[in-house]
Amino acid sequence: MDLRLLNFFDESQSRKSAVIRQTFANKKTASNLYWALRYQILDYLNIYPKLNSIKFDYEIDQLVKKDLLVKKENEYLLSKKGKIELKKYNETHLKIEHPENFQRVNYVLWNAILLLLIQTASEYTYHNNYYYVATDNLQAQYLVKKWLQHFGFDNLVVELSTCLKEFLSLQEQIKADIFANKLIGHQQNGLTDEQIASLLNRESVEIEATFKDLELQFAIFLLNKENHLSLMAKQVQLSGLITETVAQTIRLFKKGLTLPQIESIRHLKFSTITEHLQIWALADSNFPFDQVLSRNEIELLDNIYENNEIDNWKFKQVQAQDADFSFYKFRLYSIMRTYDESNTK
Amino acid sequence: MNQIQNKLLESLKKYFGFNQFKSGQEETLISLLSGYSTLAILPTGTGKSLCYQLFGKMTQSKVLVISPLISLMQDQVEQIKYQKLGGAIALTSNLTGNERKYVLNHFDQFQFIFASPEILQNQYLFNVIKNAHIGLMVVDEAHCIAQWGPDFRPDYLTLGKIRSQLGFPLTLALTATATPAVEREIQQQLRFENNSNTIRYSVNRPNIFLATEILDNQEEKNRRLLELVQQLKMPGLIYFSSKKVANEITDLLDRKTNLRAAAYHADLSIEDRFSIQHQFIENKLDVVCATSAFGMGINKKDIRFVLHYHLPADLESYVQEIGRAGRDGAQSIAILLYCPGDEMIQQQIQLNTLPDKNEIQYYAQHPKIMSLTNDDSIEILNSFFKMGVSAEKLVHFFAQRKVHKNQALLKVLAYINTKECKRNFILNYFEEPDFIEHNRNCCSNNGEYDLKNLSLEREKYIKEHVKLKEYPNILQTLFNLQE
Repeated sequence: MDLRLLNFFDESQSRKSAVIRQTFANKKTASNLYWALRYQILDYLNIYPKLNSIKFDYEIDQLVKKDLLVKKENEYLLSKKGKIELKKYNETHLKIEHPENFQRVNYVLWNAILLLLIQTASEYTYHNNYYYVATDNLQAQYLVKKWLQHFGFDNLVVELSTCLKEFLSLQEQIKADIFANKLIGHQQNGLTDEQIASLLNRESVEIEATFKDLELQFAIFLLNKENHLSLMAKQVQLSGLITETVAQTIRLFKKGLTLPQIESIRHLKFSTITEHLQIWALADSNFPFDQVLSRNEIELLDNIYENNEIDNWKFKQVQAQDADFSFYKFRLYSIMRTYDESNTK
Repeated sequence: MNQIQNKLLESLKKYFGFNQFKSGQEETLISLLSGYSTLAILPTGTGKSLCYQLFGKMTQSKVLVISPLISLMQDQVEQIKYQKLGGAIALTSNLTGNERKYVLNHFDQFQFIFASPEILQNQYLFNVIKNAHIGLMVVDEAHCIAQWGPDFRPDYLTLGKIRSQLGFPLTLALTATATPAVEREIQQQLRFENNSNTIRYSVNRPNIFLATEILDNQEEKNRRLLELVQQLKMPGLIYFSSKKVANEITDLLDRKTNLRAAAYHADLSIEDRFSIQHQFIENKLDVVCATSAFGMGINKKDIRFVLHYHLPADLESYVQEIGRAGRDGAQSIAILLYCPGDEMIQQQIQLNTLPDKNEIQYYAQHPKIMSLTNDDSIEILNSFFKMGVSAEKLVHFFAQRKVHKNQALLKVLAYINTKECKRNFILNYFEEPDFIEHNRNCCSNNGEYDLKNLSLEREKYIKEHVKLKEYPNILQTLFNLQE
């Protein structure tokens, strides 16, 4: 049973497990992102891109069977028992501290690059040319080779060893040790998650989470350095929610173009442009809501939805008063009020 | 010794550092160097891949290796890179668009090209390969061509056409297990020339003792497993059909023995897979509890036992898997533990991997959905549909296939239950004409064997268990830093 999942449920807000699953698996539709914002789990986007949905649903069922979650129609609430268990679990287990980095860094590629960089540097310091390469990821092999052609092995060894030393000195000792014990190099085969877990009397999922977390944090650490290795880290940077196409829409909007004008310039559907605006609003609490929603529209919406829980708002309520009211405006208003709500909490 | 043999030995020494060939290697190479396409049926552990690697080096020609499994290809690529034999690449569906672009732009750099049959359906890629002038086409695991064989891959049926489109290059078909009927089918499907050669060596591995044990139930099986691993000489491999059970038994071994064990399966991260393979190679692990995902492209020669906790699907897989033992020629043992009901696991796997009538008809009507799933059975279906086979024919084909799979499983059960010599049972299954004379170092039923007599009894020695080190010490060792 995976108690970590309880972190994503709440005692008072009933939540759909599908939203949580799709958030983990990086589903970036405006609708899924909106509910991820409502559930305050947006930072967890892309944390398990290859999540097995059958396994996930099975785990949820197990939590229900153990009375840790309560099923209410198609939604779930964290039970009192679940809250106690979760508190106990979180006090004793290691977890990912910076889930948002999964949106900032291409984990699969960075994992392969980092393994390769460390192995290559390590074998080089022992003048060894004969070794099994730790990863068959061609893109990583190509990028490392190219970097080495530019900057050479000596730079790699100096920068990598110095940066790792500095980075690990900033971490909790236990986490730094877990990270280092998994590294592969000259005559060092690394320990597996299971082996480390067994030595520390912990669960292997904690070791896996800690290693991934620190790998990603190291990428961010390098990005903030001005050295040759930071160029490598730039290769794995992700744009997060604001993909290039969304960014183009934002640029045009900021230039003062209207939505129909943007639609026509970009040869995209109107619904795509409004989806871009919603994603922008979800990614940035400083979104210029007043440029999309007029004072009258806000007033109308305030009158209808005031004193109602945001999660219970229905679009048809505003439609009943103004049949032409756009859904995207209703959604942007919901996002705006979600930000207001969290500011007042 | 003639000139060609001298040259072969010289090259063997130069590229691999060996002084002599293993059975079948030299004959295969002589046949190829004489210009004859060759089917080499050589037992596991005889270094089949050396045949095409050495041929490539000696003739400086490009070698195209068709292989059914991505993991096999990746192991081979790693091995070639490690031995610095030349550029090697695995063209698989795992390559990203950028990677594929890079490979195609730098195709000259690769001497050994590994490809799955389905990737060769890509016309652009196929043309690049065709223009690269292939000196040797290799069909690895050639028994996958046999339609009624246990490992049949529909894509392998296209290999004859591919060979003809490449202008009938010199071809080497490799397999460890092929009955005479399968041998004929391979030659026919690959459109081998009349003067092609077959080099056949027995599947028999005399240094592997064969044992089966029938236990009453799972608890009994676990008890016997624990007993065995504490008596047997290490290192060893235990095979499972289920990742979950492989994890559970590893856990059991951790709790109940002082053995250093690890589970190995497809769910592990790349760094954990690397760690386990290399700890095992360097004898820092005693036992690996593996599923068939355990690639042994990275060769370990001193495995003393292969234990099967679950039933293999057929005797072909069994012979392949136990062939991991004793590659150094020293006495080793293969033990199959069975308890009534074990066959249900294989039957369930069959159900999951063979589409039924409804599924076939559904996918025939909704072909787009097929691309959304990565289920093995659906991939096979997809290959058939792409080849233009009708749903009706497929229903018949898969029904027949179910029957054959079941028959193959019954043969495994017969192997377990036979009171006769197990080695001869296997030789008979592969229709080998020469039977061997049974002796006490050959095989046994129901645990009646003497490990001491086989020199397979575990010696007492103190092993170094893994320890967690502090990170400054690790960095110091990793980068050879001065204190």
